[in-house]
Amino acid sequence: MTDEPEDPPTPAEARLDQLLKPLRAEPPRPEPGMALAVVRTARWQSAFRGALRAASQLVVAAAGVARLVVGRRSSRSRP
Amino acid sequence: MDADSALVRRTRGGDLRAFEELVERHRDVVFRVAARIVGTREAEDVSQDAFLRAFHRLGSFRGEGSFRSWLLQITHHAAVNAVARRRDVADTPAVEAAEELDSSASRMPAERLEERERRERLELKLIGLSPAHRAVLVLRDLEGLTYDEIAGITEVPLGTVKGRLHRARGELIELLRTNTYDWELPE
Repeated sequence: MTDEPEDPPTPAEARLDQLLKPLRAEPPRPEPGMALAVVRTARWQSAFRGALRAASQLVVAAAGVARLVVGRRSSRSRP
Repeated sequence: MDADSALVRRTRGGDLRAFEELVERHRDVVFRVAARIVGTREAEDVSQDAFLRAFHRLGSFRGEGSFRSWLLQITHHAAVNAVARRRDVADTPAVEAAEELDSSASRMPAERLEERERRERLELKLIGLSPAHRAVLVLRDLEGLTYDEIAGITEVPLGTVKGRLHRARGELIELLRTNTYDWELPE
């Protein structure tokens, strides 16, 4: 990716860039176990979502069957 | 196709090992950006939140830009939201820094101690910037991202990025000048 050149820095901006160097050199680092914790949470969340999706499909299917049964009964009871 | 795209495709197919590899690849940059915006104490939560949001929204990633930029856009959102939720964010790193300094100060040589103190003071000043200014300054001056990438991540036009960066640097310089600590900043 290309980048446009910046205007030359003022003396204060140049000094600020110098001051920021230690922050670039020693950045904060995450705990080593973070990736594992993220994946573990993603795993149970996707399992939970899957179960929720299956349950909602089951409810929709059960409602369809119930509608069908009720519809048949009401058509039989008609004279 | 780059390595990230292949991992994204595998993750979409339900391969969590591929997602773990994506997290491993990008956890450092995500954590760094989060930490510089919200402070290190909250950065772990914000980073995890960003990765999980990305995981669930992977279907909306169209692959027009890089996965890293897309992920950093989510991280930026999560971090700025966290700052908005916790208005007293400026106090936290101060407490953190003070606690850390107290616990280990006696074991450090004087020169290292001074370096560390300067770094922590500067981090505190950085946290003192407004979230919008802080974000562009972190992305440009600490992470070295291009203006285009920053515009994509922060979802503002290129001209706004440049304007914000200029004002952010100016604001930080002024914050440092009003400090009792001598940062040797020329007029």
